[in-house]
Amino acid sequence: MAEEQDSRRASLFPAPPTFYTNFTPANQEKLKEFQTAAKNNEDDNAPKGLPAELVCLIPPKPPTDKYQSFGQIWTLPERHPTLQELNIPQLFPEPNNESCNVDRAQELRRLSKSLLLNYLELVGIMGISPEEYAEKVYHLRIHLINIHELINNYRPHQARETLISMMEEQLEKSRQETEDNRKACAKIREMLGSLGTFDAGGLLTPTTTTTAATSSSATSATATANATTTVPTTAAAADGAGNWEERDRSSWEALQQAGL
Amino acid sequence: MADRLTQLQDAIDQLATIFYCALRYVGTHHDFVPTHNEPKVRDDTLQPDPPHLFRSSQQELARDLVLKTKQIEVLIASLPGIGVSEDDQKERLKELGKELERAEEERMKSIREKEELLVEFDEVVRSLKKV
Repeated sequence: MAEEQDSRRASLFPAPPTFYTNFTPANQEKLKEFQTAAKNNEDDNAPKGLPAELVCLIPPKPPTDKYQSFGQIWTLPERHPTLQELNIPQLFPEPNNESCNVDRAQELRRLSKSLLLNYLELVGIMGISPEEYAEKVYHLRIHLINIHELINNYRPHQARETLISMMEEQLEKSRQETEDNRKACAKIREMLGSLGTFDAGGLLTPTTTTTAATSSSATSATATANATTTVPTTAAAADGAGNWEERDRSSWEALQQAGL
Repeated sequence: MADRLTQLQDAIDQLATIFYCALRYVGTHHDFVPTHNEPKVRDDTLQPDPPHLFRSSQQELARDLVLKTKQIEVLIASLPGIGVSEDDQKERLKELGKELERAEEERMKSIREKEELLVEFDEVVRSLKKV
C-alpha cells in the first residue's frame, strides 16, 4: 500500500486518489445528516460514528507544520532548509550580523582553497590506494555543497546591492537630463538675445525684440505680434528684406543644430 | 551577463567538472610501465596516448585547474557590497529614494522650462516668417 502511494505521488500525472468514488450526491446527503446529528449531540468529533465511505468527504485541516506535494516536503512557512537539517556538516561559522559579508568572502576563499587541497589529496590517494577514494570524494562533495550554500545565502545581499547600483544609475541619468535641458534652455535664450541684436539692424525696433527675447511666452506673443504689424509700416527696404530671409534661414539651421 | 554570484557558482561547478575530467583522462589515457623483466601489461579498454601528448594534456588540465581557481578567487574578491552591512544598505536605499525624488522633480521642472521656451521661440520665429 505504501509503495503504491509512493509511486502515485512520484508520477507526473498522478491518478486520482481511490476514494474519489465516494463523492456521490447520496453520500453527501448522508454526511449532512450525520453532521447535523453530531451538532445536535454537541459532539465536535463528527467522524466518530461515521461510516468509512464518508470520512474522506470531510476535508482535512490545513497543515501547520509541513506538507508533501509531488514527492517533495515543504515547510510552513516556506524557507531554505539549513545544512544541519539536511544532515550535512557546515564548514563555515554562522554569520554574525556585524561583519558577516567580510566573513562570507573570507570563508568562500578559504573553502575554495580547501576544495583544491582536497582534490590534490584525492589525486594522491588515487595514485596509492584507489579503493580509499570514498572518503575524499565525500569531503569534496561537502565542500561543494557548503560553497553553494554560502553563495546562496549571499544572494539577498547582492540583490540589495544591485538595487542600489540601479538607483544610482537612474539618479545619474535623471541629473544628466536636467543638465542637458538647462543647457538647451540657455542656448535658446542666447539665440533669442542674438536675434534681438541683429533685428535692431533695421527690421524690428530693438525694444520690442529684446522684450520678446526675455519676457515670458505669453507677453512675447503679443510683443512679436505687435512687431510684425509694425514692421511693414516701418517699410523695410527691399534689400533689407532679402537680407532678413537669409538670416532667418541661418537661424533655423542653428536651431536644428541645437537639437530643436 | 549573469550576476557575480551566478558566475561564481558556475565557476565552482566548472571546477568540479575539471576535477572529474582530469582524473578521468589520467585514468583512461595513461600508458603502462613494465616492472623488471615482466612484459608490458595491456588493457584493451584503454587507448594510451603517446607520452608527449599525455604529458601536454596533463599540463593543460593542470593549467585549467589553476586558472579556474584563480578565476574563482577574482570573482570572490569582486563580489558586490563586501564590507557593507545590511543596515548600511537599507540606509543607502532610503537615501537614494529621496534623492531620486528630488532629481525627478528637478527634471520635470527643466522639461517644463524647455517647453515654455520652445513655445516662446516658436512664436518669435513665426512672427518673423510673416515678414
